[in-house]
Amino acid sequence: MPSASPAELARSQATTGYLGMWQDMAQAGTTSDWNSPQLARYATGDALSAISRGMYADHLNGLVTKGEPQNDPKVSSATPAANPTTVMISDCGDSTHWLKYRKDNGNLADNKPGGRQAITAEVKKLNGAWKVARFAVEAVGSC
Amino acid sequence: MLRQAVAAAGLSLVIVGAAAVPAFGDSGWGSVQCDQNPHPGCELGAGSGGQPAAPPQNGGGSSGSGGTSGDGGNSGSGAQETPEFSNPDLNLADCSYQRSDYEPPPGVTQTAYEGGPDGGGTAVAVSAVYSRAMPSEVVPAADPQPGESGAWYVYKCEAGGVRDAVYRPPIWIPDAPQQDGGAPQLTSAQLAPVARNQLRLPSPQIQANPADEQLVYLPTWLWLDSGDWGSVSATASVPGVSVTAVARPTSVVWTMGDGSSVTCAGAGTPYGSSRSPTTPSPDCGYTYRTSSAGQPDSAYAVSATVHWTVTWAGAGQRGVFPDMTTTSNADFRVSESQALNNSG
Repeated sequence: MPSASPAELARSQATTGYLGMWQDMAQAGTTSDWNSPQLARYATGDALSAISRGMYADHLNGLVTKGEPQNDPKVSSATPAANPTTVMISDCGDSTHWLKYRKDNGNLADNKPGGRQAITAEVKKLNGAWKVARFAVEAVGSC
Repeated sequence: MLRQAVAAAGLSLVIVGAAAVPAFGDSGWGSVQCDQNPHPGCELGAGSGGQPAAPPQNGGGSSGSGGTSGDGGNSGSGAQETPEFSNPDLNLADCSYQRSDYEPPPGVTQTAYEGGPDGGGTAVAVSAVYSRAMPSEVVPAADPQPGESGAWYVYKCEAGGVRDAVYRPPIWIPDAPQQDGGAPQLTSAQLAPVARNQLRLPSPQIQANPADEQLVYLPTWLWLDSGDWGSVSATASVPGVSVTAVARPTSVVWTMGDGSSVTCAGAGTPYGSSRSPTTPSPDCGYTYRTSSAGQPDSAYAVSATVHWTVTWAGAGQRGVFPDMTTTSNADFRVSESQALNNSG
């Protein structure tokens, strides 16, 4: 059975890390636990900072997040080609079933629906582990 | 009477709705969404991340093709005007900040990788036409330097009569150097960069006459939408200190794509149909000598870069920041006059 090439492995592991980051964010978001160590499993640097700071704001505003995002990530580039250490991912995420609620009464934070949101992410290999270093999430309806 | 009451009720509803607009959408991504809370990383998107940039919104933009594909390769002078965090829709005109107890998780600072000139995503971001640009040194929320004294501040903003209902994610603001071992404090000098980062400069909307196609030896009028030509200000405040940053447009540099450039002291005079087509613009124009045949897409890659002086003032102090620039691009087709076919 042929083993996967380093490039194939990189694409697969980077995608796993990318999806893992949003799953961890969804989990920590149920209590807006901005200091959760889990957030650092698949996110680092600017990506981790953005998630943690955003969740701190949610915490301060009395908001929590319920549900899960749906993702459809595609690798747009992997460099260096032979043995990638940086993988760029394009995604059209869906937040329809991943929304913010008020912690005090359980109501939706507002009546705006979620929807499809274009996401670009940079995933890097750090000490053997693939973590998202930066990401950009665009507005609802952007893809 | 009844009509009026209904209208009044409708109006008050609108106001309530506007006041309740949160800084974050209620999407699970709301607090990290780039249109609501720009953060380092948003430069990866910038309207071109994996999808084509939206065509220009200005109806009068017929002077430009609006196409994006050809422009990325024309590494013109505007290429460094990234990343693009600017979003005029963000209500950041007036923001008040307060210290928070936020502390970043350890993983934020232990970035072992080289973050430098790794082209991967950033090369894509420069190609957007009609993009809104801010100087690259402007970062919306920088993490602290190692050993730097300061604090994480949360904030609420107001603009256009709309006030944030909720706090925005914390940003780092360094303290002033301590004078005598006293308590760390925030002065207007520390707050000034925060106010500058709140500035949302409009991107220039390129206009020209003739609108569809330029002709050699026929004067081309160049101008920007006048609504984009005016001072922009933003205020940042903490209890006791308030700083206002003001950006003023001073000039527009037009690169015409044929090697020439034109510097105009203002937005330029819009062409009026009563004018003779052979009359040159009184203040901002150019006359092409050669056609654009043979150029990529048979068009000259034109850019207009607005230079802004940026000053700040607050608590009895004032200062100047480096100029900011905003750039838009357009494609101009220039024909030999025998190809004249724009009688409409």
